[in-house]
Amino acid sequence: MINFLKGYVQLQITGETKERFLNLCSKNNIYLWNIKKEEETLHLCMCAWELKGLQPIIRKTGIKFKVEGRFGMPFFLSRYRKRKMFFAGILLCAGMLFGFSLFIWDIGIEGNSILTDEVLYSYLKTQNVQYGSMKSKIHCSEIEEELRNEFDQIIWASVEMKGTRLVIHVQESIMPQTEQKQNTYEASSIYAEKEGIVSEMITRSGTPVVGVGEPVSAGALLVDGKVEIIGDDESVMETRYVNADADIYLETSYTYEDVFSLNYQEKEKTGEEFTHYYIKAFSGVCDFVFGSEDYEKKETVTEEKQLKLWNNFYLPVYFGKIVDQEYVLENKKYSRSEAESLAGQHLDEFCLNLQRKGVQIIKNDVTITVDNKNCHAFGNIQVIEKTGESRTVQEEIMEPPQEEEGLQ
Amino acid sequence: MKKHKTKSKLKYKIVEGMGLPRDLMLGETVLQLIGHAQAYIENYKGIMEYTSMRIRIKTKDGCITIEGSNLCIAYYSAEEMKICGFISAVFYVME
Repeated sequence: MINFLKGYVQLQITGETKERFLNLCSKNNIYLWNIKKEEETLHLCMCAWELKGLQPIIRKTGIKFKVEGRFGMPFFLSRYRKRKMFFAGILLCAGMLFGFSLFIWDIGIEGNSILTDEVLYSYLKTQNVQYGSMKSKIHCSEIEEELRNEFDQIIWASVEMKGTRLVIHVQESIMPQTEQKQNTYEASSIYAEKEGIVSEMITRSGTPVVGVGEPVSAGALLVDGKVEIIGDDESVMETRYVNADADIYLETSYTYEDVFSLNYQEKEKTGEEFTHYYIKAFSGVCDFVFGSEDYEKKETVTEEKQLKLWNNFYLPVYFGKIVDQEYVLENKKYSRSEAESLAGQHLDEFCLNLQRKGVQIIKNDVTITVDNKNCHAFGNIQVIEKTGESRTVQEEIMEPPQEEEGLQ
Repeated sequence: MKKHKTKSKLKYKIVEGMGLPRDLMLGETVLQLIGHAQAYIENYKGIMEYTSMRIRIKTKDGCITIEGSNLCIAYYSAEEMKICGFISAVFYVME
């Protein structure tokens, strides 16, 4: 390496006293390497600046030498002395890459479902953690604590820096937020949220007011938070107030209605496309548009990719492709079967949404009718769903028991 | 001559008796062989003959002959040299 940096030459030696030449070189502290014998010639390498010291040795030994090649940094620089800007460009590029590696250019969030990426990004922005932040100013442990404190849904957070990427893993709580808090100073009762027939009831605390199979109206009391303790003489000994807790399932119905017109407009693509590209760096955008388009109506699809050198080395440079697809609006009309199929799809989506909320569908009385202009779906969907709304109760002051007349 | 021989014998006995390094005290040649492909040599006077099949190196007490094929000298300086190639035999020829 040192020899390469200082420069060395490869020589071809011919003559009778090649061994004497080698010995004289070693005596004069001239370092030789890669010495090879080929027939009557000797090939060897030596440092370029020691060529001057060879003159007396050559005179003494009478050998002839020829420089076969010059290697090393001095010769390289001399060969490319007219290409200084090329090397300056390489150095500048290396400097810029090093400079970019000191900042964060991508934030990845994983494990979130309740909290959207945008919510977390905007919170991080308030903590000065965003694209372009310096890595030395970001403290991962502090960000983890702040995320846990700010969002109740986040029970665990991990923040790590990988290259120019900040990766945030979060674990959200799967317990619903509607759990009733145990309040020792207030009691609560459970009321029906809508009318229906009680199909199942499991009471854990409180006094049930209705039974299975009884119809209830919206707002009716289902489980009372007041618990009366009856004595042997069937009188009220004590009244306690608790937070009523029960699983109550009501058989109720949803009214479903869906109307849509048979006439509609559909986007029909003409097949004409216009593509152009752009490069975005920091806040500047450079468009590469060749030609022009004059579409009356168009659909634009943009694809953007961030430049990255390897897995976690992202750079603040984006390449984008914009495709404009021309379309025309065509007036169409659904046929009877198409309209019925579409109405059926809407109904299926509605039922699927209900099922996702934990509602059990027991009967579907929706009918679909199609006339000249519209398609109409109307009917009732009978379901069994969990209900129960907690409301606090006012404690009543208990009256002291009356003395018996016989004792007076 | 006799005095010189007596001195060198005494020196030899002192070095052997005290367990001193022979290459430093007696200027003996150090030859280190790595398999049959490499040889490191120190404490020599010079090269007497060099061909691709034989290398003869002059030492203090005689010469060392290394025979083989495709022999080349990886580096050569006043202190140390390295021989590469296929080494088939090493001979010591004492004066």
